[in-house]
Amino acid sequence: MMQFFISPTFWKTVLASTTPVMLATLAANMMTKSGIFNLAIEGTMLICALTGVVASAFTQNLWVGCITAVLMGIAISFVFGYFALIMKGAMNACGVALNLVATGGTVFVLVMLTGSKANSSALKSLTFPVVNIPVLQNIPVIGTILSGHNLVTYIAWVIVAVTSWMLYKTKLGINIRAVGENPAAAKAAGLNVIFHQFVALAICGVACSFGGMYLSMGALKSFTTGMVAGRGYMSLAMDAMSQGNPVIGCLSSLLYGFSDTITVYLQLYSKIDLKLIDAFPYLFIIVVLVIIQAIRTMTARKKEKLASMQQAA
Amino acid sequence: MGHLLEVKDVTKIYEGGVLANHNVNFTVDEGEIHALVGENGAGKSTLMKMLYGLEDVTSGHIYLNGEELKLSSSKEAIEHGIGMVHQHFMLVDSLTGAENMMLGLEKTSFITNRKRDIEITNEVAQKYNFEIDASRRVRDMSVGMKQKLEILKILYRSAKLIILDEPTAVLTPQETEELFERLLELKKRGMTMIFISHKLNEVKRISDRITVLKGGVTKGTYLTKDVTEEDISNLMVGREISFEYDKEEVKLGEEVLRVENLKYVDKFKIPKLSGVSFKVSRGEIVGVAGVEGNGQSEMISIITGNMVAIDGKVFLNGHDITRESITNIRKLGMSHVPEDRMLDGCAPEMSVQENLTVSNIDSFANKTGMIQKSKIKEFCKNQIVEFNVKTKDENQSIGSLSGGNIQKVIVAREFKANSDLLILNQPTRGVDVGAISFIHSKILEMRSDNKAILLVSADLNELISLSDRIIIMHKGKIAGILSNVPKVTEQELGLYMLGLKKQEGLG
Amino acid sequence: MEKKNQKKFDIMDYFSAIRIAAALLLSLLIVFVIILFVSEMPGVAIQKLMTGPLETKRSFFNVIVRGIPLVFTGLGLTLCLKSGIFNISSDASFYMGAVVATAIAISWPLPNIIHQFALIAAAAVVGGLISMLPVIVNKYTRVNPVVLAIMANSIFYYFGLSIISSFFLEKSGSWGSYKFPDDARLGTMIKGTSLHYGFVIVIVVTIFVIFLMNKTSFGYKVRVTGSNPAFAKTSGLRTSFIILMAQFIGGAIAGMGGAIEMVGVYKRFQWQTQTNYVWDGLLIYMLANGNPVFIPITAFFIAYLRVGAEIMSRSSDLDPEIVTFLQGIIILLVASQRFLYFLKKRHDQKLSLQQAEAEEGGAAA
Repeated sequence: MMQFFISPTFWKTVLASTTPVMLATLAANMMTKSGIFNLAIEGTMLICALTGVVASAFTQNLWVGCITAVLMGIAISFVFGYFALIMKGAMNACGVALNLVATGGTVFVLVMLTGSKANSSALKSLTFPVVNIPVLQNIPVIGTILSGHNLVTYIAWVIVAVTSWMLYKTKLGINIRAVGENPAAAKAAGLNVIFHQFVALAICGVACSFGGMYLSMGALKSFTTGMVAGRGYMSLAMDAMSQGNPVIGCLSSLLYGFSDTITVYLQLYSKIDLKLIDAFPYLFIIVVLVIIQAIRTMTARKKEKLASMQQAA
Repeated sequence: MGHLLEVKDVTKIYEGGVLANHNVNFTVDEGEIHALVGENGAGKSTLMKMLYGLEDVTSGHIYLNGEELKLSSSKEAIEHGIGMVHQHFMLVDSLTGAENMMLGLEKTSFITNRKRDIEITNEVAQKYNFEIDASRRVRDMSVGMKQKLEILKILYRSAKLIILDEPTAVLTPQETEELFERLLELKKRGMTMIFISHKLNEVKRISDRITVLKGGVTKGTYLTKDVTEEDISNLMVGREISFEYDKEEVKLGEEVLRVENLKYVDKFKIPKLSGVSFKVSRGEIVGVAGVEGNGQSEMISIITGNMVAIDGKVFLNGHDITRESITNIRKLGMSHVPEDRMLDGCAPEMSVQENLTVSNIDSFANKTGMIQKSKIKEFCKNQIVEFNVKTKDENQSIGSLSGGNIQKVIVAREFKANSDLLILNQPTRGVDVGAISFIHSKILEMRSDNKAILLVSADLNELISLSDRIIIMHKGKIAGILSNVPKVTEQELGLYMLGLKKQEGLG
Repeated sequence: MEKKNQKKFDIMDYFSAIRIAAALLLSLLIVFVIILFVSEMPGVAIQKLMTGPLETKRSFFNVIVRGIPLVFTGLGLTLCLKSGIFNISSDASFYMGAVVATAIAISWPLPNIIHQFALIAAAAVVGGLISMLPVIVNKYTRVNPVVLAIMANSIFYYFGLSIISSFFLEKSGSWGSYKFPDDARLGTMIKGTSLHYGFVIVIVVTIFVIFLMNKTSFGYKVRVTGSNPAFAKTSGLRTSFIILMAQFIGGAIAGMGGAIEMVGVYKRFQWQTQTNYVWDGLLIYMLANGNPVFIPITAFFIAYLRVGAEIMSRSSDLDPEIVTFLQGIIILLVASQRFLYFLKKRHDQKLSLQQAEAEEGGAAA
């Protein structure tokens, strides 16, 4: 059984299944950094998954489909921003509301366009291609793990990298972080808080859209009702683990991919009930969260002790 | 010669209907240090927020160099050359000094240039003779350095008018000295400054003119050299109407509250209480005087169970309550009228009736936990009548009542809880005159009823009229305990409060 | 002059109700417009949606039966939310309540009446314990309790489903548990309809919650804690205990709801998907403005809409999920504090100035 951890295919699958959660976690990180609590990441991904499918099917053009979904992601995030930030609705309620709009709206549209309540296979939607990176693919082990992923996976890595760079190395990033960490200070410095929060929302929307499209146009070839299956909520837990830092968030999301891939192998090779194994990622993540928080509290206490000893000296 | 800044008939009403400033008038001349003084809640912060574009003006006008100023953001204030050093620093903790320095500036490039930013910050620091570490994160900086950074930010943005809000509140004496040296240097360079402070000795030292604010209204502008600290103190804290009550002769009963050698240090490592000891017995009112920030809040928090002291003990009816929960302290016989009634004195969305019963709700419940509605209704109706609360009926939401009536409800609740010890923290702050005298009569009733009362108040008149003894707090210690209260004058209290007079051998 | 002011006072007291009604009407209008654009037969669709459930006796009682679990969820959420915590783990409690009911129905033979009481009670206890978890875990991990609650819904769904699969699955025929014995089920109240005795229980529970929240000292303490936690603490209330107790009772009610729905409506456990009642429950809570007295009304209103939507989908080309969409819009509007806010703002400002001038005039006199 331990062979699996050594097998490069295992790790390749981990990277692949991490993709949607990695994107959702990045979206959640941007929200935390800008001071927003956005439950609607789940619903945004779902809407974009359908939008990409429908748009690509009707125009028979992958890129038009892609751009439409991206614009939709930004639009939905802006709707959230409008009701939560400008109309001062409670963020919890607005997030829940948009998720309901997504659940109901996607099924409604799906039935309207395809007559099927289950999936969109009636539509001739397009998919993102698998990419084999020229030189890399020939390197043993590493090549298997890193090459041959769906294009969206690579796009995800690029988005995470670019966003991290933007957050820490550009003026815009510093402004967003200032707005999220101390809106009063940002305001006093002359920054437009709402503007920067909407920029963060736009990035969130873009990430969610690719997350959704990976599911319906990458891993699978069509849209299925409820296909996000809690990944959006999971990303909020990843975000809690990383406290908003995109690099750590990306690593935390690998935890999800890891636990998700393990469940496949557990299902094949263990005697535990299938459905119980499905719960494994959630439980795994909660355990990790408890451990991380325990470590954080211990180090904070050590720091305090050290500081007070220094004072006494 | 015109004024640099003119504030004319400015009024500010917050959302929810709170009146913070009413027809405020004052002027500031170029190159002067102008002090703005007033007690907590007098409206100073609101006034400054309007000057800095953080709040909009409800009515009235502000003129800068003769031209009317209509600010809708702090960005615009900065563009007009107005800068503000806030009491609670407006710095982003996870960013470095240089990053905070450059925050919000349009002339910087999109991709941050760390080296250049640090260079510029150091240049500016040197120019004005400040010392800061530009590459350090703000959360790792000392309080003094953070403040220097705040001031440098303003100077870098070519400010002509700097507003400083309680700048010395968090500084050590040495840091305060340094700050004053810098401010006087800036004045020589032609900078104009508005200096908000409670510390009257500092105000006397550094300002050219003083404006006093009280209850959201300006009480006059004076040349600093023409007024003494006592004069200012009287203008700030005295009320026009003086209270003279016929106090009954009440025999002192046994001790109810005993505080022994209380010590407390806050998270900035500044000592707030440095050994406070006193006691309160049945049938007496012990007043606590002191300029805000000298340890009264911390002391009350510790006594009421909201905070734990670093050292020392608190006894209630003989029980050691130093580490007890609020629940148990109240059960042992303490009631508390908190300082900020909207923060934790009431639930604004709930009705008058629901707010009246929180301390003794269990006394209205029978064995099954059911509230006897008729009993409560009667109780509440009686309180409303007894305490003269102006409300439609007991079901009206308490948030829609005036401040004075809300306070009466809170006082009614706490007084009727059958406690031995009553802690009253600014019980008549923001309350109309009629309600004030009413609440005073109720306090005296409690005294006649053999309760022990600890009264913290910024209203010296109130303290003198009601207290049997007065404790004055200064810099975390008791500067004096006066027992000859009817003969005590506000002037004498002021002297103790400002540290100009002190009794020896006190805890 | 005074009389005019008093009149304004009255209207503004009902400001919340006005807002909610306006939000409802506006949302319905939006949905009608969508139907107009999308359907080939908009008139039929809208008519079926609005009045369909009243057309037959069966569909009318169907509304009531569909409303029963919604009332339970709404009441459960009321307890949890009123204490100030956005604990939306009612689905976890509900689903596991049904699982526990199934387990006891099948594997623990008991006489009639006692059997039902036992399984409902057990479901309540389990539901209550589950509901406390997000608050407890939040204390130790500092993860947002909302996220934990949502995760709990999924975790307990999988957990419950696997319990059924492992121990109670009937090996032949379509997926489902063994049949419930008759003495475990709730009988039919009115012949010819699907109305079961759970209706009686839900009335009792509703009265209990109204009583608890509005007439007991505990309910009062919960409401104060939720309204202003700082005030609750300063006044000496034991906020941690109160919050946990409220979560337990709320979860217990949701658990009961799951058990009653299972043994009232179904003959075997066949829930292979998450129940998702908590989202409906949240809307019900918001429409009722958090007052348990209005929860049955709003719950049956939502049930009515759902049944209406299904009837509409049978006679037209529209999918009933448009009601879920509608729910989202309603919540967005009701949640927005600024919706119709300008009315209140002007009123408050005027009032404050009047009061201040009156007081200053009084002082000068």
